[in-house]
Amino acid sequence: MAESGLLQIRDPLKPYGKPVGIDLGTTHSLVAYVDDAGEAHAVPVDGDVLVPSVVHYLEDGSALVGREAVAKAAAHPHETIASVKRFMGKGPDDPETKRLGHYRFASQPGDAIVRFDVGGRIVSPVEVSAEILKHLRRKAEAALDEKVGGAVITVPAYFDDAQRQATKDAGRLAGIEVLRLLNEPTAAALAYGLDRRAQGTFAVYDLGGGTFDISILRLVDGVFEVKSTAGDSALGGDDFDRALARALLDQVSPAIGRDLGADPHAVQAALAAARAAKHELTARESTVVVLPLPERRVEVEVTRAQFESLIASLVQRTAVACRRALRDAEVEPSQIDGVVLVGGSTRVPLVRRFVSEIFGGKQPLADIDPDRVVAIGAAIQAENLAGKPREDMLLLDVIPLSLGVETMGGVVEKIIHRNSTIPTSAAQIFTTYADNQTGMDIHVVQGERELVQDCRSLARFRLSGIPPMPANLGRVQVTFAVDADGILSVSAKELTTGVEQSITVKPSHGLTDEEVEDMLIASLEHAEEDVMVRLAAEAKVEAQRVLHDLHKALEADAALLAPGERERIAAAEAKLAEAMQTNDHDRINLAVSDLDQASSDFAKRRMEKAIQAALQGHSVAEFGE
Amino acid sequence: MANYFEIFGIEPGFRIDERALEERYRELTRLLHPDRHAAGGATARRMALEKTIALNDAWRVLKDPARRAAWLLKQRGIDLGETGSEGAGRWLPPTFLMDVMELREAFGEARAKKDFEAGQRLAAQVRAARAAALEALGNAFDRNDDEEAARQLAMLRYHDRFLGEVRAWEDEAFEEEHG
Repeated sequence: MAESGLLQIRDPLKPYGKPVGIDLGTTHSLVAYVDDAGEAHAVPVDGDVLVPSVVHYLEDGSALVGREAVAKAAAHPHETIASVKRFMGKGPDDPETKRLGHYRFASQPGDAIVRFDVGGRIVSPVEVSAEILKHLRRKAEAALDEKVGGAVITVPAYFDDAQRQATKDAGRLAGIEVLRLLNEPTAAALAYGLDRRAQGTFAVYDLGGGTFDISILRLVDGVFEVKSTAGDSALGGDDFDRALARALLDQVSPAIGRDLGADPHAVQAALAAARAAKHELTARESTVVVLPLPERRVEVEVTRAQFESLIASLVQRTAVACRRALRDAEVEPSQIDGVVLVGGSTRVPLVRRFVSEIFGGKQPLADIDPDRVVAIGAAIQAENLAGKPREDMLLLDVIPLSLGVETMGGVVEKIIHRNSTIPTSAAQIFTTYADNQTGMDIHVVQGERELVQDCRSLARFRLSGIPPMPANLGRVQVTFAVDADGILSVSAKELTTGVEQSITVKPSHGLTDEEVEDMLIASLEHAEEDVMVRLAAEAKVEAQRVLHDLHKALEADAALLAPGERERIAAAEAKLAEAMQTNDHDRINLAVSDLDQASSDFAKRRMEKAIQAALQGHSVAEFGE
Repeated sequence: MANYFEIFGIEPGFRIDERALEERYRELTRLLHPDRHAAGGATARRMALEKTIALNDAWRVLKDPARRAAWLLKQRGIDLGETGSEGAGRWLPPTFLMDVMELREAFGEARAKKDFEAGQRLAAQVRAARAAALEALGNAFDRNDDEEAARQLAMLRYHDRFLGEVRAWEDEAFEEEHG
């Protein structure tokens, strides 16, 4: 039997591939891992750990990522996509598409998402992000000389469901097993908290390239409990650049004699110059900005005071979210034990002064590089989920925005409230309003406002197969569940008959499962690796994981086995061992599922026993590793 | 409906040791959270998710005295809903409704005139009334006087609604300033 070469050399007790953490940022992305000694490191890529989140599309449709793409930006503004994160999960008419930028959008009537026209092809933000993730994975595999096993990918805490789903789709499309989506401020808190063995209440102020988050956390005995989170998923350092670039273009246009704001090359140059000036002004009081225009090179002096007056209102806006987060957590600024700064934009001196002011004069913590701290935290969580788990550590996060459904008159009825600890669920009962009504439409929205039009539309669900009966008698219970990634799923049951309803989901601003599937197949067809071998290797890894876990359980709790149960489990195990000798991933997956079936009663008994032990105050440290 | 007290392994009742409850929550969540079962089989992962969801639901209700009271009353046949003032209306004493109307009117005037100080004075008054209702709610449970508990809980919710509006005003003013 042919074995995959990858697996032969592996220690069966070690998980397949290296778990990594990926910070998929607006301006930069990076990947990090935890070494055998338990230390987290960012992976250097082309001499730097920060990879610009820029993708350039060549004429043949293939992509360059990172510094190579940045080098193409000036000459090819339309074919080079920067800050794609700002478009994740967004519709074609989103305000984001109207801001100063050098994108060329491709709008098709009825399209649910933004798409870019990059010359040879039309691409979605999910595909652009997948290129960045693929690049990071390849670079990490080269640097570590090991396959990447699974990844924790970070997202802004304030990302809504559509933005999270889009990020997860990008991971899938890049061929990465997404272990978890982790909120960026929580990741940062993890990196700091474990570093300092901290206890208490902390605020994480995360101002990145395109998003702003504030989270309030309580740290007790290794449990990181997010109390509240707030933010603005369309506010970041990019907006500082735009404000300065806009001012520069307005100032220079009259002298040149044309509207530079209408020229994508000039806009691109002004944005690049503004970004450079912003960095200079962190340490200096003034700097000279150079705009290389076709007419001539223009030099403009910019002082820190001028820059600060341009961005003051943007920085002020973060105070609204900070105040809300504190109130939702029921914490006064004076009760905050420490403030952690995250994101490159917190290097701006005005931002630091402002944060210190909001939190009662406390000097914020920024001694872990604010550009790296998120990826470090993600790597720790990845290791925890798919490598060596840490007994003492647990993250408890919340849903950032309330979930609701549309009711009569376009009013939102909230079903799950913001800052509820996830995973969570809630059920709602809907009644038929017409005789023999067999279907029902449900519109799910996310946000805090009272009217549907002011909230984010997430999806429309069509329930069908309700048995015909008089009006008001059909009662359908719809259950909304939010998983640990902060992603919503919906199920429904007709209460009089108990029949599960089928649900058709139409995401308002996302790709359907079929679309992602199609993209995946298309990308795999062009991939260098053998798809079947990869699928089989992944199935074997999962099988090994399950076997490993089962053996540990059998060793610890053999007394819980019912008569004949061990034999049934052993038979299923033998079938799985046989299947693992092949490269047939379907067969392996089926055998894994059969083994799970054979041992599921045992698994349930174990969990109940552990719960009972906990309720009676016994130590349960040995369970659930 | 799941028995929230049973999930935490404690006797049902309004008076609970909130610190012990929090410790128990942390212990159970450490045991059940999906992250602790990420390497397990499908059954273990599904159970971890279901049990954690149930635990989080129970925690949300039990840690908050008003939700906890509503849950207990529902078990005893008095349904005011988990939150909100809709199910609470019929339990309000008529004199209370008159007081509420007067307070609302005064608050509406203060808001229209942007008289922040008057608004804060009214808020302080309502906060004190809320504290009194919470105290009375506990006493009613001690006496097993469910109807009195329902009345106090209904009043408490009206106070919360009022304070929510105060907060909305404060938020609006703050946002205008920092827009």
